[in-house]
Amino acid sequence: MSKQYAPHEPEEEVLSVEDAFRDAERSEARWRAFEREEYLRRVLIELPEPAYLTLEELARRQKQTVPRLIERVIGELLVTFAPSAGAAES
Amino acid sequence: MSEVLRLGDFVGIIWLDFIHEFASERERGGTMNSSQLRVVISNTGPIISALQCDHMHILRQFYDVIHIPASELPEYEKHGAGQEIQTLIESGFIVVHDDLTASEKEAAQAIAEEISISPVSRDKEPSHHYPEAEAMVLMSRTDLEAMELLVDELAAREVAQRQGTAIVGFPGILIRACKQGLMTPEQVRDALQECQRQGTHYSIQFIEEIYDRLRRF
Repeated sequence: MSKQYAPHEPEEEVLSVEDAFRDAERSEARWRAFEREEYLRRVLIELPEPAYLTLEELARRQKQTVPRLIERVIGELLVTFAPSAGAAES
Repeated sequence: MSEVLRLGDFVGIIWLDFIHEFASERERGGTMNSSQLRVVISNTGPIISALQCDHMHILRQFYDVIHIPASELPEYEKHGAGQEIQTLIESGFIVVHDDLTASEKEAAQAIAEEISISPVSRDKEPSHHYPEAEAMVLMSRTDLEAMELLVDELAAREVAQRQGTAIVGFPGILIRACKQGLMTPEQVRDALQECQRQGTHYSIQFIEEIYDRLRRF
């Protein structure tokens, strides 16, 4: 049996059943988004050192920053592959 | 084809945001601490409910840090939970803030006033709502990076929602735990019944309806 605690503001109205389910749904969505972002953060920050050093070297040679270089590479990948992938599916 | 392009746009947008933020962090020689904490701010009610039904472990599974304003501490003492809160503070799970600025305190006073005059508030004394008002003020601190405010009382929730604050109540946390398979519908019902037995204002109908819906889920 758990310890007894005095009730908190027992005179105040608490949320409805609809509120409770809406809370759960929105909270779940919030934390799913958080975890997705966290995964991407890990991928980039924990990139193994040789790979990151290579990126840094490439960026330095092109007089760019690493973020700008990755942004450009991904942009080019999307331009190259997204339309052809779509054509392959259709 | 258009779906692929939309997917591409989506992936691109996410990546571009993160590339800038985190690659810049690495270039600055930033920390390699890759784990961002799951941070929330809580009003007294949900923490008391978790203690009442002995389900603090569910909060610990969902969150890494809970920030609370120091003005809540006397409430925990009043509930007989002072020692438990002290233990949670010492473990680092709960972080207490007694550093509100003059303007933050002023904002909290205004929020407490707003809660007290809410049509759904039965307690019309603003000072009684000051701790939840301070919790709402902490939500506006960007450095804490809190994702949501844990709050159950209807009046405080309404004011928080008007301010655009992301909120979740203790029953919502239990429902989420059930949907993730961390609790059975029966365990959710038993937990809410225990809170009710100890005086939390959950009606029998409220608990049974949550149980029924979770069983059908």
